Amino acid sequence: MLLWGLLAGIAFGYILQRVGATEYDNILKMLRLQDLRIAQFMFFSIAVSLIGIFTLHAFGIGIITVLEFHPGVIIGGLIFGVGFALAGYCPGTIFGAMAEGKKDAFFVLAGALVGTLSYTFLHDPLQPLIERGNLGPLTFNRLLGLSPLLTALLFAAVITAGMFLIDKLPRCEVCLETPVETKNQ
Amino acid sequence: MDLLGGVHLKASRWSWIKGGVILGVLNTLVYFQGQRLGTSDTYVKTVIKMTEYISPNLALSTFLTHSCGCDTRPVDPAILMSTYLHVDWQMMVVLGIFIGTFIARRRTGGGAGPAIPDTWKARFGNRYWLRYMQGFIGGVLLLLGTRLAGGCTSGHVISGTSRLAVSGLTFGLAAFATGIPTALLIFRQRRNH
Repeated sequence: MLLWGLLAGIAFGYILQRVGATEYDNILKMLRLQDLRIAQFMFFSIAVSLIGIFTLHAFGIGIITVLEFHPGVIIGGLIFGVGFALAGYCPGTIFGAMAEGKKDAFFVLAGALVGTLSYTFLHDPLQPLIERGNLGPLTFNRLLGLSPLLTALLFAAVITAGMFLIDKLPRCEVCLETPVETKNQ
Repeated sequence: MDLLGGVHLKASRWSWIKGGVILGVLNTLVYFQGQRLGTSDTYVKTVIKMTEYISPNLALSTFLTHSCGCDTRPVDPAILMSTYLHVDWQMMVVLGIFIGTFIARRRTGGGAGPAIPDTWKARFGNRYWLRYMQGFIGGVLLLLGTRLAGGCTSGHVISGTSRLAVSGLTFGLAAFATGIPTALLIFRQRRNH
């Protein structure tokens, strides 16, 4: 059981490194809208997962559980975004970047632990806000009133089309080069 | 270009299509296992473990505020906490990410990573401590936001959206809504040249 977790983690880390998601430069190029390949990778993986998960689900395999939707998701996401642009790593890739010997990732980890602890003190004042607007485990299929599989296939199709369309956009060639090469221009 | 430039001799990165398909298959297998990819709970566990020796009360309140914090079962919270701290599936995933990334970098001849990122250095110079401070503050906001939202990129965006969760996609869009302007602001063009 735990061994499968370790293997899944190893595969996850391997994939993240090979697509360049553990690289600050690539995350910042994505957020600066210069090179969207990390976002394309992420959303395309979601499209593939949607097909896989909901096909299994349609055959009665597995239980789909989703996280609750409340105002904390939006506010937390907005705070997370600022942190993401400053750090250049997300909570998962911090560990990968550390394994790669990137020293700044160790400082991001230290900050992350402080951030984890600081929420302990912010929880009580924020709790009423989270509870008042809590819509529970809301899903798009329920929201649209469609069957889970149909919604999943629809989302997968739209996401896939969107990600391939990004490739058709004019590329900023200079942005794709390494900073070492462009520095003296 | 990358390979001929002489600067980057390491193997070129996977295309987003290849990476997306492989992660999608992995995510489906994880679902088949009855699990979900995620990392942020491990931060909570680590902080509980680290503060337990200094202040057991602080450790307990960190536990009580984890996820939605709405656990009101009439059981001694200290017992619930010790169960929560057992080595679990997600901790193994986090350990795996560390190992997997290490193997990937070694296998493709990446060598040891830089002290500060290349693009950051090109823009701000060798101001190591500025980058470390920035990273630290970024880390604080990352996990503050994560805990408030109840998940991060892996738990909310990847695992959540692939289960059609409204919370997953909303979190992702909110993160981009502030992440993009912040990144543009950090790397804005200097006007005094």
